[in-house]
Amino acid sequence: MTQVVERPGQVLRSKRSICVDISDMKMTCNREDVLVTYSLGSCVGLTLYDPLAGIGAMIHCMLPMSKIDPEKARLKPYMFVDTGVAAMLHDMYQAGAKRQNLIAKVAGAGSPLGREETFRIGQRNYTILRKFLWKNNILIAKEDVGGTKARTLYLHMADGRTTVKSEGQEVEL
Amino acid sequence: MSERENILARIETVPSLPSVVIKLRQYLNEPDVNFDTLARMIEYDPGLTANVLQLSNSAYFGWSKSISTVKEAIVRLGTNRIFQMVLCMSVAPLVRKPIKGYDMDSEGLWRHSISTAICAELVAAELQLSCGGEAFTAGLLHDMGKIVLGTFVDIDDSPIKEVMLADKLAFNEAEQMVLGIDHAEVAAALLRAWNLPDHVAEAVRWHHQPSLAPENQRELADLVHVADILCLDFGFGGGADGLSYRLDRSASERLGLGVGVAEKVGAQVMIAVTELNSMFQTVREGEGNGVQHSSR
Repeated sequence: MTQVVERPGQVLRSKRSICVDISDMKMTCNREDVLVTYSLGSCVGLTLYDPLAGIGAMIHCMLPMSKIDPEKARLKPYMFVDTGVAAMLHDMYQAGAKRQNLIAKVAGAGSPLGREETFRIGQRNYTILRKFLWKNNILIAKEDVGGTKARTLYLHMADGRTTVKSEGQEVEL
Repeated sequence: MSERENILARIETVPSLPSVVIKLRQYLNEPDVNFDTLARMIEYDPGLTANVLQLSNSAYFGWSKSISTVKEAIVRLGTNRIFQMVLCMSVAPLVRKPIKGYDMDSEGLWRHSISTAICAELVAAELQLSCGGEAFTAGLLHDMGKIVLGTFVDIDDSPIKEVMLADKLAFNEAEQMVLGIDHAEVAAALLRAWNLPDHVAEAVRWHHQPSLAPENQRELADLVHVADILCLDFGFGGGADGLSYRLDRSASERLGLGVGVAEKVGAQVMIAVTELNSMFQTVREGEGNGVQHSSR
């Protein structure tokens, strides 16, 4: 009779997928985690990763500015780019990440067809995000923004890779 | 038989709406509505009664004292909310399924349908539109054509996507090119087969081309159009079609909908959809109150 012996060091643990909902943010320092957010339309997804501290975070913002509804911003700060990314940076610095090490990658900010698209939510989400990061001395390393695709964004904590899946194809940012 | 004729013929195979939905609609349009009569219409179906009571008592409404009868639910929530509940529970078994032809998981179309319904109702209230009474119904049912095409006809979306990308078309325009019909027209035909009012079917028919809607029914078509696009924009459900639809700028201009109100409503929809979703999680599908396979 064969006996299966499990040795802790040899057990391969499967990766844990952590879903970031619309208007949410998740941060982790676990190398086995994969942060993922689905259905990025005009919303923007931002990943911040500090390879030295081993800390990564992902946010999925719906709208650019919290001033349209301060009460909602209080309840759901990650809904808006301005309050959401500020809170994300605060949490990352608290956890030990350093600004100069942060690698920022962005996906989303799409828009429906039509040159004269009325609401321009995607475009404004991206503009406010870029401006906010610039003011905080963080440059966007890579991005996949605009167009009519719906995107899924992943941050693989094992090696800090960020990938984007759309229309059945996954590519590294 | 052409592909278009084949698709329209398949509408006959889609289960019909429970008769209680049509009866409630007709009764609620009468000048004097009696709550006892209304309650009896719902109580005729024990499964529906149980679900109405379960939903009415969910944390979403936050009652301190629980609701024990359908009449009490009608009094506390109002006839409009009760009808919306019954409608949602009736279509849920059809909508909460993966839609293969559109690459949607089991929650994709459901999430998009309820968010569009809520968004249309909120925009109508914000702008005080006269068509507001039908906003929820038209918003909820606007994409039912995707169920017919994606499930009952089982379309292959690859040629549609190829045409869309090659000719830079919107997804519905590519459907028209490949199939000879789009999901909006199919949805309108289904709604008519379900005996829903003509103005709701017309709004759904033109939800991607609201400027082509008959003038007296254009406001509802405009409303569903902008609610649909905003919900796709915000990522409330979506599939292979992504954001590949054309926003008709004149629709938002006719409604008087600016970016400020659109964003404000978007934030409200986000909160409401999360709450409604958790509320509906408690109701299991098809407990004697969903769409019925009947010989029509």
